[in-house]
Amino acid sequence: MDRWMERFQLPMLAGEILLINGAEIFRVEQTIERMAKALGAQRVDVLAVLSGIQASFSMNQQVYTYIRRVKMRRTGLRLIAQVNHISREFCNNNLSYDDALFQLNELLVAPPHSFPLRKALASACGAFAFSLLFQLRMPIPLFFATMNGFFASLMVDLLNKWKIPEYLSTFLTSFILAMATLLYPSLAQTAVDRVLLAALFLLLPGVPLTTSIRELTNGDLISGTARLSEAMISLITIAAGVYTAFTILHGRL
Amino acid sequence: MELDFLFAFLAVVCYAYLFDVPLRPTLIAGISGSLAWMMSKYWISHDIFGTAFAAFTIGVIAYLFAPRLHQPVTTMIIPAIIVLVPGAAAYNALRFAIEGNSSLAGQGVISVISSTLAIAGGLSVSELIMLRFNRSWRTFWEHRRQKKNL
Repeated sequence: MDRWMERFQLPMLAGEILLINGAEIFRVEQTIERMAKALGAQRVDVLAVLSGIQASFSMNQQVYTYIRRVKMRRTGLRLIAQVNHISREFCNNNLSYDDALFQLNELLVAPPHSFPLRKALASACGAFAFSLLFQLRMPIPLFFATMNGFFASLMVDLLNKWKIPEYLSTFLTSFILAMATLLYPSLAQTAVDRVLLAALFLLLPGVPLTTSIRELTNGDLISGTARLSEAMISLITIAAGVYTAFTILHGRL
Repeated sequence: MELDFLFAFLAVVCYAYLFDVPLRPTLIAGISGSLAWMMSKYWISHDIFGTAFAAFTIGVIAYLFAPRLHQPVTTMIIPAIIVLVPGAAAYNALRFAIEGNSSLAGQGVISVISSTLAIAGGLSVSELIMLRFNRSWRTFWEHRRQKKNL
């Protein structure tokens, strides 16, 4: 096996980390292209979609083709920044091939960034801020909204840990949140929606929705459509969870 | 109303922590996100245009600071647009849909689509402008440096 076969794994690894951590498709493709060109490829063709990357590199009348399947996806923007840094240094010849490979391999197995409790606190704080933005100014609904944010994050983490499928966990979380919100004492009818919504912001696919439109306008039709349908499915799942809770506790509405 | 600036900053910073954004981009995103919130809610009275202009501002700030902080623009755009994305509208539209109120649901869906398109459009326009701006800024300073060295 010639050594190029091995060396072109480096751009693929960088692309894989980017895709896992939720980078946009054009960034993945651009990074792979730049790193492969820096390695000496004469022609680079990359096709990245949400669930995998295919690329072929031409070098000395030889074509090397790779496929990477990506199954897990999350949002880890710090890792995207780090891969970006490594790729820039590598393309400027400030970083050797071995060092780049070592650093990327470390990033690939990097653990999730924070403890569940800290994430839950951040989510509670976010829910608090959002309910203030939704003009919720009474102390009791604010407190319930903050609680909702706290438990939403904890629940998502716990269900992920138990390896519950993503959509089921979204359904369960929104169901339990809606149940809890309806069962909170002395919560005015008009406040219920906003208390629930502040916490549901953690689950609502607003960012994927916007990213999908950006990708569609960019010309990445496959990933744009895939992301759009993913966002739609999770919206419907959330609605189903909330609806189930509202149906069960119909008397309270 | 003035306090909203602080609340939006807090919301963006919290979500930036959840998205695992490094510190300096978090602060930039916080400022641009709260500016965007004020723009879309108070400073510009037109709904869709306000959202588009707010997204444009987020994009401009992100592209302005990305090369200077050596960070990808994604780290500043994604947390900042959290305050603009139509999560609430999408939720309301779905609630109306499951309650069987199809005309309100249709209105909601249209408002979701239009504000999503507005955000995407604003970001794309800012990208078009700022990529050229950054490039000409860089070449300008390189020229200056070369002239000095000669």
